[in-house]
Amino acid sequence: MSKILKYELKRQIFNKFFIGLLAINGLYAWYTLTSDIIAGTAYTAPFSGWSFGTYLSTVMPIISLTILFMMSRYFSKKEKQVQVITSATPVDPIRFMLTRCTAITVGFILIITVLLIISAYFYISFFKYYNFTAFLLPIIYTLIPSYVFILGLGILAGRVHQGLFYVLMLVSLALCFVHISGAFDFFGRGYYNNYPITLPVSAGGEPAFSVSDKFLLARLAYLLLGLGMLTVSIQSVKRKARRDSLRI
Amino acid sequence: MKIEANNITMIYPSGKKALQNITVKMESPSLIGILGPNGAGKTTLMKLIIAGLIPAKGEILLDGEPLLKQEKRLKAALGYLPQSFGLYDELPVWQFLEYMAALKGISNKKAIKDVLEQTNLSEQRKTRIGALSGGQRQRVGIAQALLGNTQLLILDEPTVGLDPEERVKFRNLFSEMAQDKIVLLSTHIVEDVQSICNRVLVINDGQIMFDGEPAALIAQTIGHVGVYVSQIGDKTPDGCQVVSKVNTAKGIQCRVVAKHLPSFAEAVEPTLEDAYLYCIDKGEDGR
Amino acid sequence: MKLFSLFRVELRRMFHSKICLSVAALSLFTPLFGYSLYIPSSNVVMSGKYLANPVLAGTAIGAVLFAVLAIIEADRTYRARINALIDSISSPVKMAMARILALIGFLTLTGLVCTIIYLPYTIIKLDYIFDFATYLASFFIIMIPTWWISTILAAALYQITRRIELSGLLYAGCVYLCYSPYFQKSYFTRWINPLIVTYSDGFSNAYTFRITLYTRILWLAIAGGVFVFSLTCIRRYQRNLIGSFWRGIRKVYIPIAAAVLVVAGALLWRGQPFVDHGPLEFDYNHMNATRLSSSSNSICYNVSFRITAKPISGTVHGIAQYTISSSNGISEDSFWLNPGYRILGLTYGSKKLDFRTLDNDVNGERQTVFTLPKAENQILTVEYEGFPALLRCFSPTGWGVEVSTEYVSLNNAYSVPCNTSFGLPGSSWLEITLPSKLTPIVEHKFVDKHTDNKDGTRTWKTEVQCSQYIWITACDYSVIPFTVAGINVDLVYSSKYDKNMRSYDIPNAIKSVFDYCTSHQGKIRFSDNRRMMLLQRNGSGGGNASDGWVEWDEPIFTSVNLSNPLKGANAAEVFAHEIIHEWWGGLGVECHGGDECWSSEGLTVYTTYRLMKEKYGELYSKQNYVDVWQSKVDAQNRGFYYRHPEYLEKLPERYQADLKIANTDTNLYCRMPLMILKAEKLVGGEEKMDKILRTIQENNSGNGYAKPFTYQDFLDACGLTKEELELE
Repeated sequence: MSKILKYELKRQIFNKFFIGLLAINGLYAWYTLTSDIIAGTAYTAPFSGWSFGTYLSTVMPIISLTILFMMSRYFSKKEKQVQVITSATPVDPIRFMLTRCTAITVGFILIITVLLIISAYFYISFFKYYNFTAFLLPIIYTLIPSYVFILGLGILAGRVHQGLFYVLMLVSLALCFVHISGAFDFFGRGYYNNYPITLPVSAGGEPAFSVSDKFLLARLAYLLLGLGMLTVSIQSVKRKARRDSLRI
Repeated sequence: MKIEANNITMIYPSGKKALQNITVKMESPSLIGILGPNGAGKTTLMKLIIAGLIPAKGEILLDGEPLLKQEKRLKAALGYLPQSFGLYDELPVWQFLEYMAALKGISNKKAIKDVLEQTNLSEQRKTRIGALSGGQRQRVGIAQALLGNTQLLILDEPTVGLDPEERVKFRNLFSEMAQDKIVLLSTHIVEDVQSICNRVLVINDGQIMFDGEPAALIAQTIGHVGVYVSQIGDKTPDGCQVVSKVNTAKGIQCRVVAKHLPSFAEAVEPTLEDAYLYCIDKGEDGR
Repeated sequence: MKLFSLFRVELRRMFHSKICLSVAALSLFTPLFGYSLYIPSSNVVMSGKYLANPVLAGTAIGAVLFAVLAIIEADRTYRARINALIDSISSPVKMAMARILALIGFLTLTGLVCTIIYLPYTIIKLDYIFDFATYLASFFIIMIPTWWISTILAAALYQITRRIELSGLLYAGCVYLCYSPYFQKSYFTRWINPLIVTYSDGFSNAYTFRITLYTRILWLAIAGGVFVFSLTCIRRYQRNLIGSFWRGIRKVYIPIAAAVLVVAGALLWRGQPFVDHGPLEFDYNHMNATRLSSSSNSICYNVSFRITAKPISGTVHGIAQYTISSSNGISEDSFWLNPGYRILGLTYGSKKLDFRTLDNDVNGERQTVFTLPKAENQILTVEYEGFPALLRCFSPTGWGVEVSTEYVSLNNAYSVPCNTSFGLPGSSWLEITLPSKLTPIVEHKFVDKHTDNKDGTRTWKTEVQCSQYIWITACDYSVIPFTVAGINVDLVYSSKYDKNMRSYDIPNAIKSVFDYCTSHQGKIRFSDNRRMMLLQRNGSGGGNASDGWVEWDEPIFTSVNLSNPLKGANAAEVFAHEIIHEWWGGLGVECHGGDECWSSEGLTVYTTYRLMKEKYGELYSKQNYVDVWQSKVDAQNRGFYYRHPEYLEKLPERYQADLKIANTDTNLYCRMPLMILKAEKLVGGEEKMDKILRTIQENNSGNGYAKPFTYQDFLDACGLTKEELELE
């Protein structure tokens, strides 16, 4: 599988589109940091966990757009034509699908790494701030459930109809503009913006980064839903109900 | 290897009946040519054999066991070239074949090298697939089908887009390969079948019109192929299908197949193409 | 095939294409969003609610729809794989041109249909406010050109990338920028959502349409440039982007045309006459800017101005004449004028003077420096002309500057030179030429004398009790005179508001404010003997008040505002607030000096709160005033940069400006009223506070700037200390 992964990575990551999207992600991240995050979220410092969570949740729609873009390649018309050949090979379709998921995940990690480096540069250059371990929890809460959910949803959507990717991309784009609040806010931006205001202020003049149980449950729910959708996709690969359907 | 398709009927979701109650048995070694007009059901039959479709009725057995239960075994032994397929344009030939080899579980680089040589693509091994000509892409398709020690080689119109020299070379290659395996070759080029196949299946409208040796197909056409000379403006006699027209000094020499040759036509030795046309024509008349 | 034939074929095809017709049909619905969901412009004015917002919604959403159509249409030939066939018939470049022209034709027709469809409803809703020219301009200046820009840009992006998703993504990025904080505040960056803060029902929208038309042309040039450039990227000869580009640029006229268009766009951007290049914050210190050292060497005896408003071009021509004796002949003199104006000539007596206009825009002014030769009683003539440029710091909210056939508003450096280095006499003569239907108000007084000119204009002449910073407005005004608390009040407003003023009985509402203030805080004291002008002006903010006059922005008197009693604290009460300023304006409360939040605003806001408490009860005033102040002060206290001002300096200029302005506003309008409220409790309640305020009025009114009333004075009057009034 490592060779397959190697080529999946080569196809997904070493191409001008991914580089271009990575650049767009980077520019958007810098723009978000310098125009939005610099103000601080919910009266907290720009380098608070809340602000960093807001940063991640603001860039997440663009990241998911990139992820969906990568995934859409696996369900494109062109890919369907290649799958006429690949589906005749003895490769285990589930492992094949998981390998492709791994390739997308590597792409995701790469984007995140770049965006984290950009934010680190921002915090050091503007605020001489170095305590990046404080950002670990926002990273875990914000990125992982959203990513797994999008991965699951994307694969499921792709197996239903390729056109759904465009719908999901549009939804992702719309989420850049629409502000949702509450614990079930998918990317979490509204939550990070509103919840800290309700918290008591600690010694430092602002609330410590500590999310509510409801939010944690919501994140867990998204994670499980994502995993659930992945499982459903795996099951549908297993069932092979429709022989002429696509495989990832 | 032995494949048996028993009383297969295939109906697409659109309601189109692609195959109707057909039965075919194949055993290695054999090189079977499938002939038939467009939409006859050739590709459907192939897709059924590679477990790409599930028949509406009937069953397909691989060495006596249901095919769907041995899909993995089938695919491990399968080399498949579909009629229309896509390739990853962004990858060089070698890398694409390496990718396909990985999917097939082949780690041996020699296998890739061999198929590159067999398909005459060694020089293009570092060329991006997107930059290849139509014929070269077809050869990449054939190369991936040949990868590994396949016991069942299914080739749907493999020689499309190849120049005559390449075509001859490839059909010889298929012939060599058929020494120890089943090679199923679907084509419109009757000459290819005539040259290499030891068995021919003629399919029309989802039904098998003929299954046997090419010579037998030809034999049943004797007395139904004739030539005559006509002039410009002459009508083709009823019941005759013109196979060729050649302008000569005396007029236009017409070669026809017919159930009953007209009296002025002189019967001649049939070719496989005449036999195929006659077979199709006869089937349609019968309906 | 010729381009025109291709265009015709494409256009005909679009009228038979399901997708084109669907997009056209959908775009006809887009203005509906502007009635409730998409409200970028003020919804308080009637024409904003029923025209500006529907048009702006149609503009932005329709633009996106047509962009999607442009991408789908451009991709169609590749998707259906008929490009090889089409390319064999016609050049792909020509085909792309024909396609975009056909799309533009198609969407223009759609826009036309849209214009017709919404006409009856708009006429019914706007009633006597409806103006056909404004209606047409809204569609033909704002909506349709924006659709063009969007379509051209999207088609260009597709031609460059030749991928639906990538071009869609890039396009979405371009749209996103328009809605992002960086770009939202500028007229020039917003290509898809033109910045229109408010329409006017009673005055004029000329400035709005002028600036929007300008930005549409600017963006058409840029989008056109990108499109022409993208023609070089059209894939041909089976080559990729770069290969096709190298072939494409061989037709040299294409890249040249692209460059010309983009450069034209850039020049339009750079040379825009609408907004000055001043700082992002209003500079309160500029008023007291250090005059040049030479000022004492020149003495001015007499001043006269001749101003002509040119409504067609929206420009102003002015001649200012100063009779000056100059005793030095070496040092420099200067005056300040709006940066949009160009000095046509500067003469002293018969001598033409050399002058320099500096690049120091601030508060809508720019300095011109010159040296007066030594002479007695010579006339310094300044001739200037130009398009009035808005202050950059106020430009996103408009500034009410206007020169049109319906309305003229020229204040401060927009009318005559100001901030002169030489001393000026206390009065001047002003002649102003205007379209004959406009009635001028100069320095909040009517002008009596006029002469009619042959060209349909009228020249008005008056003596003004100042020589610089002259305020001039002119409109088709109506006047309601009434007397309250012994003061003769003129309520002046656009005649289009006649119906509203009478049906909502505005004079009585105003009288009730006067009565309250007089009974609680004593008689109003201002310098001008018991005359006051209450003037409605074009604008979107609140109002302004000073000695003997109050200006209210238009929305305060719209039906939407007046018919909603709960809107009080937000809008309708603004007129009370501005009247109350008359009680506190005369104190000369130090503005932005001393304590950071001490200003007449605090006293005015507090008094407004008291008035509303009496009128609507404690609960209403607590919810709409005290709680609002408290929440804003709490927010300010919690704010990171408020707690850590040391980080503020590390921020970019734009962001610093935003934060400082927000801080100042909170200090003036929330923190200080809360402090006064605290004082009220500490001194023993409302009655005692009223007594103190009355005493302050009696003892200090009329002192003005000569002896400003300071925070310490207030504390002394209350018998409190600074520490006691500090908020927790």
